[in-house]
Amino acid sequence: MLKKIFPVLILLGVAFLFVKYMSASESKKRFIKHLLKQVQYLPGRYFA
Amino acid sequence: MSDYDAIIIGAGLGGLACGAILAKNGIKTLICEQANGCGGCCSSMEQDGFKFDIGPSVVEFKWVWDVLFEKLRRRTSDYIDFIEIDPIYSFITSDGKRFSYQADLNKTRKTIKMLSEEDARGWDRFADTGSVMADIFFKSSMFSPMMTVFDMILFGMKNPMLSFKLKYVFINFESALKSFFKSEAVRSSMGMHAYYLGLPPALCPGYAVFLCYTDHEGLHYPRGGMVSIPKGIEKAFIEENGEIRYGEKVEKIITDGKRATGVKTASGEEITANVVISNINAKTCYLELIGRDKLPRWAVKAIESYEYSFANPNLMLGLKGEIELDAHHTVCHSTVDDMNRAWFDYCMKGKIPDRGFMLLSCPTIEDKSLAPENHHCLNIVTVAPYRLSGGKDWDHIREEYVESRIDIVEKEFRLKLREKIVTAKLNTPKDFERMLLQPEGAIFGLQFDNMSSMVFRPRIRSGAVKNLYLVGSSTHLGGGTPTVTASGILAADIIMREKFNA
Repeated sequence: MLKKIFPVLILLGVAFLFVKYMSASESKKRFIKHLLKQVQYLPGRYFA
Repeated sequence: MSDYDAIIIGAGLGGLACGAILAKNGIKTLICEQANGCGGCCSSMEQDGFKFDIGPSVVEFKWVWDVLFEKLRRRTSDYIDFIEIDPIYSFITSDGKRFSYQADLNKTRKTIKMLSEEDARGWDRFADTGSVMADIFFKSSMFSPMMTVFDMILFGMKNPMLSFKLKYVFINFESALKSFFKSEAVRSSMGMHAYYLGLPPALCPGYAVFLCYTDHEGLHYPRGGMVSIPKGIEKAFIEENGEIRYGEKVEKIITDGKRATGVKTASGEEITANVVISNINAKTCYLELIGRDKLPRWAVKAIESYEYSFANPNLMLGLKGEIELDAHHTVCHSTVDDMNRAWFDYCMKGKIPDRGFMLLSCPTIEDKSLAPENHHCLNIVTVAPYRLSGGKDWDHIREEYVESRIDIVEKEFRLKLREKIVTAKLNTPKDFERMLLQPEGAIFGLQFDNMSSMVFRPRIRSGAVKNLYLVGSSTHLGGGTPTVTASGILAADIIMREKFNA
């Protein structure tokens, strides 16, 4: 049962975040974009 | 056998603080400084009898130096004479109106009430939250090394209130301001604090908004100019038999593959040490002094990913006669939108903003010794890009830039300057780069946001190179005179514990 619900919950979560992002102000979008573009570097930054 | 126990590259605040504590503990320490005086970004320059600050112009968290001098078994007041600044900020609006924020919270409340009745209540909430946030973010974190996840967990456990205030980590500065203040005038008066982290209000993390509160816990200026702070620490360092070489540029950090073993100077001398401490920009330290070829590829990629904070051209004017300012700091009022626009529509496109942020700093209001009698020093600090579009170069637009800034101050903010100017000097981002070796003239070092702070900022103990430690604005704690000094204290404590069993 959990196996079936889990992907649906994930999808719902992603959809919720997407809607939240789309309805955010330009300022908030810029802030989120600014942070997201750096996520890929976090492991390297942590260990350097 | 090494020549020294510790070599420090750079006599900035972080390097000096670290060196002074090490020397106090009997560690044979050498500081190599490329310039002919100490202080780095926190120094002053003289011209025609005027003494101008080239970087920061006031200090918050004066107690950081008390912690330092306590470790040195000395009294701060014997080395640095701090003058309290009040009012902490004055503002001039484009229609010539003026208002000031006093250090006293109630007096500031009255000023805010004149701007907006509703925001006076917002100020009460802001001050209550600010006092909690000041304890968590600006006091407890000041001496937490934050090198690993465990340090962060420990920090969270020591500061349980943090969990109630986490939202300010995940929203931006602009949203945090809006959650307390409705009036554009009030929000604008506090927007410029985002620039203290090298970012505009839209990109700066929300917790930085409480710097507007911590100003009220005391803003100070060292008598004799900002350089008096590094000079005070330098004096203590020399008293403890520390050695400083001025005009000694370090070109390379020598490694034996994995660990730092010393430095090579521009004159070709190789000096060995058990520990190397870098007080220069972390990107320069890793990518140039150590070298890309000596670092693992993942480390090079991580270090390259850091962005520099923006540059602050500083126009220094020596003025004769009285000045129409009543505070050390006067902010030419601009909206939060203007501040964001200055970044996104101008700086990011290589253009010089026509408005957005302009700080007038007049230290001679408190300290008359900086200028001849009946004269004043005035710094006009703005934000601007390092790289200019349209083939322009900072070296070729000096005159144009100076005239345009004076025009803005005279026409928009109705201050008479031109007729009073006795001497003028402009430090462009390129000048900062040449003078201080700060890449791109980024006087705040690296940008400071959630993805480049705490464990994600270049750490005090290098993870990539053993025996290498970093202090200064581009490492943990970020830019700012107290935080940079604290990074030096933190580094000294870690080095003493890890390398010298003290």
